[in-house]
Amino acid sequence: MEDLAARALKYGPALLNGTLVTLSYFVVGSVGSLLLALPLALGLRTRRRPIRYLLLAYVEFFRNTPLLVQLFWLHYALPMITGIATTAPETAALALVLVMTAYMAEVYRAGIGSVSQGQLEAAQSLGLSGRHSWALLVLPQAFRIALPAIGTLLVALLKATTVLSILSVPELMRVTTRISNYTARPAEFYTMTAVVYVLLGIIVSRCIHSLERYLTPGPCK
Amino acid sequence: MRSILIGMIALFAVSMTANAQEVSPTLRAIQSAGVLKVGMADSIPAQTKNPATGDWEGFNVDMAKNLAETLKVKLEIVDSTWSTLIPELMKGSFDIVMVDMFRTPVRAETVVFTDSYMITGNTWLVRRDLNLSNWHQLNDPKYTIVTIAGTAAVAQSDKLLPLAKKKALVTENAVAPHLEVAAGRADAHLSDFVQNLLFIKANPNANVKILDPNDPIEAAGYSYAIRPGDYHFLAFLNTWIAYNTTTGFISERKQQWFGGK
Repeated sequence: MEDLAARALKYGPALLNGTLVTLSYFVVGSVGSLLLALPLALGLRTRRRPIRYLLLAYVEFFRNTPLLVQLFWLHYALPMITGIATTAPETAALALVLVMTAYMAEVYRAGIGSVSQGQLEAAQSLGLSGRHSWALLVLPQAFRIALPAIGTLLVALLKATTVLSILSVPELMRVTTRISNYTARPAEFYTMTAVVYVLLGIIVSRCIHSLERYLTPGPCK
Repeated sequence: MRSILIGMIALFAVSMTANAQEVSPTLRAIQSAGVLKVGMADSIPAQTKNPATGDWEGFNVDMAKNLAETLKVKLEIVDSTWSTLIPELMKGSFDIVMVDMFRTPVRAETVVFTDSYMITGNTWLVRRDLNLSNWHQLNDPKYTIVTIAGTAAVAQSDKLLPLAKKKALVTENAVAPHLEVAAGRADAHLSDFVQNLLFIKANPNANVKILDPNDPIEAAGYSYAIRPGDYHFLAFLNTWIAYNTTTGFISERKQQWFGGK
């Protein structure tokens, strides 16, 4: 037991660094997708078919291909086509934002679809412009409705960062694999890492839940 | 007279071009940048990044330092994975791959291998409860051999034990096959003696043992890999390996990192 404590102490800083790297990719992926998915979700509602089909093709491509394949494709195939070579951290951030934006746009689209058409008509009958109706009425409600699904997606994003280890990005799973190989004690270190992911996942879920309660009007707040 | 003069000028021009082509572009690029970029992926004890200190250590790290000193340049080790070493080399992320990589014909279709710098001994890690007197008895469909997909051990296991069942894992975790054997989901795994020993020392209660530890199986030679096309660089590296074999540097480092095999 003392040995275990000594090892945890010895490799703790490396695991902490890995956790910080994981969190930085999580922040980039979540903030990027939360922002970019809104225009994408609105674009998916456009009546202009070429634009709608183009955006739909983007969403379907990134939702239906594995992140691992996207990472390899972006890192090795794209530079051959475009001549632009990205570093491993750049590719990793780009892939996470692209894939999460596709998923998030679908979540937003479902949230927007849940707001009844009658409310929009009522707002317009009260004299609100179309833009104001969307900004003040539809989008806030849609966001609140979509929050549980957003929370699930963000926890999935947290776990998806483990795939980045294939590009040597020093995130938590890469660090754990390295320590496990170095010490030949995989059970100990993968268990520690599992605990870290569980804690991070719970924190993300609690934050989303708190936000949901804060945004919910009425006595249940 | 005029045609002879033109001929001599043409010959001179051709010989000058030939001289220019003989200088290795890779060596020139390394020396002008002042940095030798070496791609590495973890494999104990050949090369590994110490997770606690962040420093690279192992046999090939000493070799890379020696190569950089020979070229009078700084050494930069680029952290890679086994799955991406060759694509990264071809992409130009580093000048050379210096890991314990077996040279196989399939890999040689993509990269160019140097002469072998070392031949190590592999041993079979088997379940402790198996009653076997030698590894040949594993050549039976009732036994399952586990390997990591993409490694040379896959072909070697196929060759040595054609009748046994095979199971290839897709993982970057070097000890995953050891764990498969320890958990009883596989019966044997072929790996470097030092890696097998390290696993047993770290996990003394694991249900595994090394079969015939004093009689290792000779594996194919380990080689370094470079991009195709620069054969002067290849000739330089082969000369460097031969020189370090003669001076005893390679055998001394092998003794330090791999033990007395």
